[in-house]
Amino acid sequence: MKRIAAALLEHRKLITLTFEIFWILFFLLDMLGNRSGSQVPQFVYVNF
Amino acid sequence: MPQFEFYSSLPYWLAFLAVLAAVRLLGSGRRVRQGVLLAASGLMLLALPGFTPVHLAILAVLILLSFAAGSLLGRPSDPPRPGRRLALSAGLIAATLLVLCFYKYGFFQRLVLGLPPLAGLGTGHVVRMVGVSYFTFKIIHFIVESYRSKIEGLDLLTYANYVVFFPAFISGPINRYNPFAASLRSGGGRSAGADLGAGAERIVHGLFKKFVLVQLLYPHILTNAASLKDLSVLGTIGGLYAYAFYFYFDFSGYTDLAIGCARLLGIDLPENFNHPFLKKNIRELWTNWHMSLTSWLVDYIYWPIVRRMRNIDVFRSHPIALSNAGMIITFIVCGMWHGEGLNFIVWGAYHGLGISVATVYQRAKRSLRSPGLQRYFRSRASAVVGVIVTFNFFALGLAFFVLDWGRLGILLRNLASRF
Repeated sequence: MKRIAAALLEHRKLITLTFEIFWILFFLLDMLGNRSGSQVPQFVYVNF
Repeated sequence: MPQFEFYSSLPYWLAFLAVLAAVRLLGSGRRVRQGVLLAASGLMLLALPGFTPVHLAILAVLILLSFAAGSLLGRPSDPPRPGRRLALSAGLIAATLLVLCFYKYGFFQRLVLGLPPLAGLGTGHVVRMVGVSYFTFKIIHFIVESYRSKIEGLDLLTYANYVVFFPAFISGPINRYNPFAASLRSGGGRSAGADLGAGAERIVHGLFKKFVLVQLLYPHILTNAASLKDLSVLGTIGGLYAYAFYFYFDFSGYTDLAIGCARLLGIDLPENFNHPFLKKNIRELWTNWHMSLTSWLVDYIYWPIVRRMRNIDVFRSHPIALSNAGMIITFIVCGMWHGEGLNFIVWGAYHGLGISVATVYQRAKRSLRSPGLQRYFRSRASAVVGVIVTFNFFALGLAFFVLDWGRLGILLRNLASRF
């Protein structure tokens, strides 16, 4: 258990990036496949 | 000219890759690189929906005027006399603020154009200019620092790049001239590989926040509630909590994308967020939320006001009152910068008052003699309570930020009827 935790900690950057890229692709593909669904909302802070 | 939103559209990323290739491959000499970057920024801005060649021309005029003023103010030999320095700086700042007010405040725009006013603040815009709130603050920073003779390595190409740098154009960070100029000259002093790795990582974080977390939160934010008249107390609080996280992930996600893109181009931009919702009081939150704006307001609004007001007897003998008055005024200006409606001014005053109360509370804590209380204040439990209270203060205050007066009235009447 300790070795797994240590390995996770050592590779946390890689794990985080893999997790994020997976879900980015998932949501993007979902948006592409569901064109009638909600679009990406404009940035809140587009401040004129 | 094709039009696309920055960061959230495929055409933007294709255009960005072309810019990246041009800057990295063609820009072997420093001046060539700066020229390529400036041309790229101009083209990218013209691709923004609603940003016209007229806007670019106005920007160019402001850049040339402020650069000329900065050159005159920073002239080592035969500098202008002190009175003329002040007049030149004040004149340019006033002109920049006029541009900001014209594009930002509908009532002012209609006044200038000779059109009849419309009822209610926040209405009446004939034309807007994306990024105006940000580049005007950058220009004012440049003029003030030129007046103080603090600008280093001034040249037109660098300054023009500073104002129109496209990754930070629409929503900041509001970077400062000297570090930008140093970064542009040296390319960050790092290898291209280091920049590409760090920049790409930052972009992934930004895309995750924007395309995943924001998408999950968006349906639940208060402004998307079916009807404010039927919202329960818990529903209102939940909607505001969701808005607070949506606001944070959306804006910090944008900042990640801006910083990441800039890093890929070899430019360093300042950080804008440092875990603001984990801070123990509202003063600390604002030191870690939209940090580039907060530091700008402190440097160019708060300190000038406090230095002037120190000459007033009552404030000289009551420094805490002086600090609090300065903070409330600064945050009212912050509210006005965020939007035109009265609700933004109230939102700003709300945070100014909150920071003032927090300042008085922190001072009062230190004067308490009880060892038990002092142990509690240093404990983790006290920190957790502080974080919860601070988050709630920020989230509930968003009601003033996201709802105009009319809709806020509907919500408050609805909530009052439930008690």
